[in-house]
Amino acid sequence: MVPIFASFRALVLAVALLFCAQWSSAQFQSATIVVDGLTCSMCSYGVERSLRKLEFVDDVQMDLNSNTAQVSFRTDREVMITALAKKVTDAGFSVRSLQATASIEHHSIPGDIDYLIGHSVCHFLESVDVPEGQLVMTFIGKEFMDKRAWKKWRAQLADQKGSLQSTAFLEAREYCFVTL
Amino acid sequence: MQRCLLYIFLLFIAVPTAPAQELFIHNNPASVLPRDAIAVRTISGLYKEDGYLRFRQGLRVGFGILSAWQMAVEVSFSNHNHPGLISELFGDGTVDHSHHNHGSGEGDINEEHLHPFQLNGITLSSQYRFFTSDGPNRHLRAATYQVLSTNFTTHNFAEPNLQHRTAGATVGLIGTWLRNKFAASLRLGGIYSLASHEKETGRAFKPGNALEYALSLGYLAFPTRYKSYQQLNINFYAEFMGRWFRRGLARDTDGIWYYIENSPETDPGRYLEFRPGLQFILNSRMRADFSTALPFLGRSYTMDYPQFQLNLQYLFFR
Repeated sequence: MVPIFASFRALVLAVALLFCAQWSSAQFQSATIVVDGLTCSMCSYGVERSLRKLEFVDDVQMDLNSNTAQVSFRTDREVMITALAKKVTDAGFSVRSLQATASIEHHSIPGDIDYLIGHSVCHFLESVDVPEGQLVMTFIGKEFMDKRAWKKWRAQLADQKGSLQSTAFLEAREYCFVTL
Repeated sequence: MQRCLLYIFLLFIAVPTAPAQELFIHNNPASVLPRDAIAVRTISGLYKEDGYLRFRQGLRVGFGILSAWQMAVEVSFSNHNHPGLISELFGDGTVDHSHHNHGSGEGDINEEHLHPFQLNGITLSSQYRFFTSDGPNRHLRAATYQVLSTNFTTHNFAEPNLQHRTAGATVGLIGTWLRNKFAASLRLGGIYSLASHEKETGRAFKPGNALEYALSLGYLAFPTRYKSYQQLNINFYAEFMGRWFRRGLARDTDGIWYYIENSPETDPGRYLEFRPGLQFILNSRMRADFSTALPFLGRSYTMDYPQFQLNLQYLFFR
């Protein structure tokens, strides 16, 4: 057996590198952010203005009643999902949930492995079928969800050791856990 | 008082589908400005005193420094105060503040009325939100606030007022709770006041240190359902504000500090005002606030009732 495949971990790494090349064209297109703590249109406006300051944001449409922001991205800019959550916090509010839509070329993704979408490493916690070439994924993390939801996920993610430093994707700028 | 409580009760059952509002007219909620936002507010106060109208004009600029920290500076002008201390503070007679520092007699009132406006003081304030629990259309938040104030006129009352009347410092806490139709905010702070001095005579007067407290309630009357940022918002507020202050101290030319007896203006005291208010929000960026202040429990001797206030605020985003 070839030495590089001597361990299962190395095999996973090789698969990840393979996907890196294949998935380099995968891009985020839009995001849906549900914001907690909003009470008025002035507050919603503050969130929208904060999101619009990101150079990769093309447009923001706020639903003032459901406090949901529909964010579309520019195709010629590097998208940072964590920056979206940070901007909501900067406006003085909290992210209840964050979902992003990405265009991808493959029809399935095995679970528990790192994938590069744009400049974001997304660690899928489960295997995914992508029949339409578009995938809507939910981001998992303290900054992407309310405290109660994060409390449930935290224990599950305790065994996950993934980080930006541990990936093989040199162009990656952020590391996120995602699910459907 | 019972009538006021009835009005407040009616306010909060009248529009059961409306979300609550916390953009209080007189008290900051525990929430702070968005990061990099700038709020410019003009504050115009009006009341009558001895047959003359008294005005206060303030300009307040608030900055969202961080997501949980804001600072503000306020400059205040009025025709209320005089640079000198009133002479009764240092005589044997009863102190009568009915002229509110405009000299010691009717002739002086007229004289003061000719050139009334002057710079009262500059106030620097900071607020940091240290606790946040957000949910869908609800939140519970807590913040700490600090105020530093300098003053260019004299203040001859035991009750300190750092917003435009007294030099000193304040540290306090704000808690704001909002759930569905109801918003309430509590504020409690301690005021350390500094003395007003007359450089020529060496006389001085130091207002008492104080506790300040406030309960603010509010709701949105219109619209019941949002359609756009351009929609006019109309909010109603009921705010209760007061202070519990210690006795004022005077210092005559001999340099000795002493109490002034039997004067409600310089005695220790406490009170609670009722400040109902109406607020219009235009384009989700501009606020116009109208409110009045009425005595509720006791009264403040620093100004006469009723007082009226108009605030205009515009929110800039950098």
